[in-house]
Amino acid sequence: MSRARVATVALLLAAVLGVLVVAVLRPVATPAARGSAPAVTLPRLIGAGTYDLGTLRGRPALVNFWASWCADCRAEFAALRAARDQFRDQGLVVVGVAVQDTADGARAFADESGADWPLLFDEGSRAALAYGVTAVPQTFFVAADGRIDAVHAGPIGPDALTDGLDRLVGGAP
Amino acid sequence: VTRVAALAALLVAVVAVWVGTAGRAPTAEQRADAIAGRLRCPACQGSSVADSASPMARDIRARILAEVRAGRSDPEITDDFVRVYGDWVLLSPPWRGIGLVPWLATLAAAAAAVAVWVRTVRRWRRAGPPPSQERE
Repeated sequence: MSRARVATVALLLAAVLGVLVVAVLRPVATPAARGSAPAVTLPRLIGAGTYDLGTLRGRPALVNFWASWCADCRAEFAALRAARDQFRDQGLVVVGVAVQDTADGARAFADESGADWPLLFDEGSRAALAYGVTAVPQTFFVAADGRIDAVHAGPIGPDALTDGLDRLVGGAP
Repeated sequence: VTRVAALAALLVAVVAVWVGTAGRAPTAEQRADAIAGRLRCPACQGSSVADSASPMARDIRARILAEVRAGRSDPEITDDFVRVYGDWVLLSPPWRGIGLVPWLATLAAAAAAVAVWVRTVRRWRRAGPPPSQERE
């Protein structure tokens, strides 16, 4: 076989292998980002009663999945508080969902962090599986019409929060 | 004769096991395990829901078992996860859409390898025996 033919065959095989690798190792898809925020009712982490995530419609919202064992979540809570204060006039609602955690551990974390937004406890990962959570922390930007506008997997900082919320409420505050 | 008898006994044992298990419906736990084995754990590093020890995988296994016991079919249960996570959640790519790509790429690579092998063998045959053999 001539060198040119060997090179052609090798190139074709490399192309096929490349397509295979890209197809198999493609990143995690989050189709929930194009759908509506699932209406899941969860017990409140602190105090009695439940909270229906379906009631978020009508106002822009951040649904933040977190856990007490997650070191990044501590820093993220400060950024969430700042974002909530910054976008308060636009009606922003922040909801925290403790997932893959114990209720006691999550409560202790919530007390230390001083979070003053609704905190829920997702026993059995019901909400996490309905939203398509792939990591902790993970933050869902929910538009006022109930559509999930964006998803941020991993720790989110003030800049990413501001950018996402600017898009969500249709302009800087 | 001993070998024939041993082979016959083995054959009878295999057939007996096959007959004994073939008609038996899987239990709810077996069905749930099979479904979990086909799903990728969303919060793990590439392992299946069945193999992962993570809390999320444990929750998914519990949910699958509850849905199997509630009478839902295997495709119904799997489709719920695909709706949320996409085809990515399936460990074996589906025979549709982008899921066809890895299957077709594998087939194409195998076909190319066979074609190269056939051409090489033909070329060798046309070229005749190597010079060292000709001298003998």
